[in-house]
Amino acid sequence: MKTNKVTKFLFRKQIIGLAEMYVFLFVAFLVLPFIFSLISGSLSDYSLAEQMRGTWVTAAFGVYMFAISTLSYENFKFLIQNGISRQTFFNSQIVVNGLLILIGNTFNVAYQYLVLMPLVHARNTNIFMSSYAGYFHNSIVAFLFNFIFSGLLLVVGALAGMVIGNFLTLFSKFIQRIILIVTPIVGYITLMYAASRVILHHDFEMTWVANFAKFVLGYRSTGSYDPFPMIVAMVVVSAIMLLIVRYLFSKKQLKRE
Amino acid sequence: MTVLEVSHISKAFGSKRVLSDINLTFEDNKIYGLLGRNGAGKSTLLSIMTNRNFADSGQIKIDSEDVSDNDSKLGLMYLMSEVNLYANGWKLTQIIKDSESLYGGFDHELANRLIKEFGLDVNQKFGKLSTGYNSIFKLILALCLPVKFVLLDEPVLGLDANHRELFYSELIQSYADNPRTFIVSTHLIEEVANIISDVIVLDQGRVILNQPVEDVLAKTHSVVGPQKDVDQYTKGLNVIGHDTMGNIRADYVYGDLDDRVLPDTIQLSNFDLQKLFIFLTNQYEGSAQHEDQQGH
Repeated sequence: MKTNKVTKFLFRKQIIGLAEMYVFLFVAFLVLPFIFSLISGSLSDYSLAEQMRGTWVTAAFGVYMFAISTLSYENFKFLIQNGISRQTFFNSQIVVNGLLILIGNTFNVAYQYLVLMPLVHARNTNIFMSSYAGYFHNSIVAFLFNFIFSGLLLVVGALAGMVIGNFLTLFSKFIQRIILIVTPIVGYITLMYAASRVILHHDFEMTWVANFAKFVLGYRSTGSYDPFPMIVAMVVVSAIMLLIVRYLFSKKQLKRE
Repeated sequence: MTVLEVSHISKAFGSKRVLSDINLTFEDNKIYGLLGRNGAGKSTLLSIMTNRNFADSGQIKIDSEDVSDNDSKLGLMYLMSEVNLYANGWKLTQIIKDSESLYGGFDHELANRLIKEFGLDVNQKFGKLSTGYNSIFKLILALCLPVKFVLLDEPVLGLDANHRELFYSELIQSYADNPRTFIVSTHLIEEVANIISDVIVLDQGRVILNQPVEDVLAKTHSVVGPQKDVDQYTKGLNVIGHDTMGNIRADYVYGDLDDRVLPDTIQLSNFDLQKLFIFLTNQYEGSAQHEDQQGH
């Protein structure tokens, strides 16, 4: 197995991509507004703290992980050209995504606690802090669970990207386009149908959906939230998606382009 | 001794059968010519051998081990083909570096010499290469990576005559310096006829010839003379083709001649691989069509 070599190769490529994305965001969200303020003569309105108040820094990493997870065909082509098996590619990609999530999540959590909270006095900088942090009475435990919770969210996002991307790579570009066009249409029609049933037919039973959602989200009648059902749900969903991704990797082959 | 085995490989694309129960063995340190007409299944076979695509049935083994999901065996092969598996935005130097890292070695001395001889600029991006230099770059990789089996699918695609000549001489030199197995799939039979040791002819997804070139050529006989004498002499022999010019006829026989007496009016000689290929593939297709018609 050449897992170490492949892991190094993939990690190098993807960490460079991550650095490029942060540079782009830094320029787009901090430098450009500053330049515009300078040019327009409204520099007094420019506030670094205000620019950093948004959640774009932390959200960007999630978007990046989802996006790169959908893209695997280019790496597959290079690796199969170089005698690397699908199994090794899968193992290495999982390790690399795990490492990136560890780095990105650490950065995000550190950014929340060291930049957002002291600089802009933000209290609720992510889902966990706005809904679940109150469950814990010890701030260190809350911090640890914040780290685990946000890490798991990233894992679910990355795996969802891998499922979508690797599923699509099984098809030709033509079929991929059809899937990408048909899926939102079918989704929209289904959603509209379900909504119309709920609105027009009062006897249509949807309470189980709401109850299930409440259970997974850990909602309690007192109005507070318990993070553990959500954590367990994310672990279960991740495990299922991991199996699906592994299967999809094993079916990868070169397309006739 | 390292042996690459192709065992009962079949493949169909939709209703079109591309490979039918292919069985081949590639031995150490030989140069195989994999010949076949367009659509014969050569590229599909090479792609399946290197695990790029899946066969419908059958197995590819190296030293009795299946190559599927087997890095140590897949790493013994390198397939150079017209299909580009390198991203257009990657620099050639980086591709060399990454390939070296994944294969665990690279002959830089040879590569530097080839880069100079072919006049390749390795500081450019892969997507910027012309068709010819695209092939040259991949050929350099194929010759310099430490593999036991070098698979070349249409290796001289887009190369001018000078570069083709240079490539063939470098291939022979590389083989002499570092003997390993080459499998060369090409349409240009005349160009490879002198460098291959064994010939495999694939036609309509089936192997119709698989022998050492020397043995094959020894079985080729062109029988030239007056039509009547030629007809009489070749009666009962495996005549795979013929030419006629006026009263003079040339019958092309593939197989051993028996000890029948050769008339003075007839000239006997061998014919080349290209002619054999043309006759065999025409004959096979003719008979296959005939079989189909009978089937209907």
